[in-house]
Amino acid sequence: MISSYDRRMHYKVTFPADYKNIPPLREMVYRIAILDEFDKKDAEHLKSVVDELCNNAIEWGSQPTSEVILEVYSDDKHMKITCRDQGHGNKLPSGEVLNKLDEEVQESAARGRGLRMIVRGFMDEITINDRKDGGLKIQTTLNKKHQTPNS
Amino acid sequence: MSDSIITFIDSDLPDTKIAKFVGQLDETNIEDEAKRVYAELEGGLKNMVFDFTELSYLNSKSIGYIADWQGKVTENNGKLVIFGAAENIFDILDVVGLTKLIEIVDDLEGAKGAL
Repeated sequence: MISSYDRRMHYKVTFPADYKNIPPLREMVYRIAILDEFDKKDAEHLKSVVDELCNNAIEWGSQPTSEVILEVYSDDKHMKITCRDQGHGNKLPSGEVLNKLDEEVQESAARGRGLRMIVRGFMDEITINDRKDGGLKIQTTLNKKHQTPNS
Repeated sequence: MSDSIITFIDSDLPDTKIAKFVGQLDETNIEDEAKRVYAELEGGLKNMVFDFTELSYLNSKSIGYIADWQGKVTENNGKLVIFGAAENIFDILDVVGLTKLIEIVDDLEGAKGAL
């Protein structure tokens, strides 16, 4: 028998680069987190993380016809959220530049508050890479803090 | 578009208005809602009290506006106080460091006392 703690869930959503698509996505990730027994506080933080990653992809890495890809992988130990944009925005800091966020490169920039402070503040890991075909891939991980008694 | 509305209520304190936030503030609505707050501030208002008791979500752009409003009331020798923030709202204000700049209290009476 497979217990709920052996469950692995993988969701992949490709959506048009329009801000109106983000509220249902952050709600979806919240519900996945609750279903997968993350505590409510972490689930609320994950909503903010999804919001900031998707906003970032639309604002900086997309044009109106672009698509953004959001992936959510969850198992008994952690949740990974990955966001990919197509890199067609007007302003395109590279993954290398964004990886210097902790060196205050983006301290006062619009992109800095969401990624540098909120995503880094709420998640345990973040990696930012340039995609070979353009755009950025940002992968974040939140470790489950409160293991269930049966785990 | 996320549902959000900011309504302004006169306070019994001088030069002070209460702004009640309801719903979710994000990229889909903050620009329009922010204009209404700026209109109040440009009218020479000194103090603002933000009622967050019915605010359920806040994103980074909205936080940027709050930081700007804080700067404007400070320029007017006034003060911005927030009350009634849910835990998720407090957490996001805290993670960006805004709780060090803006006083956040439990309720309206606390906000009046903080002004």
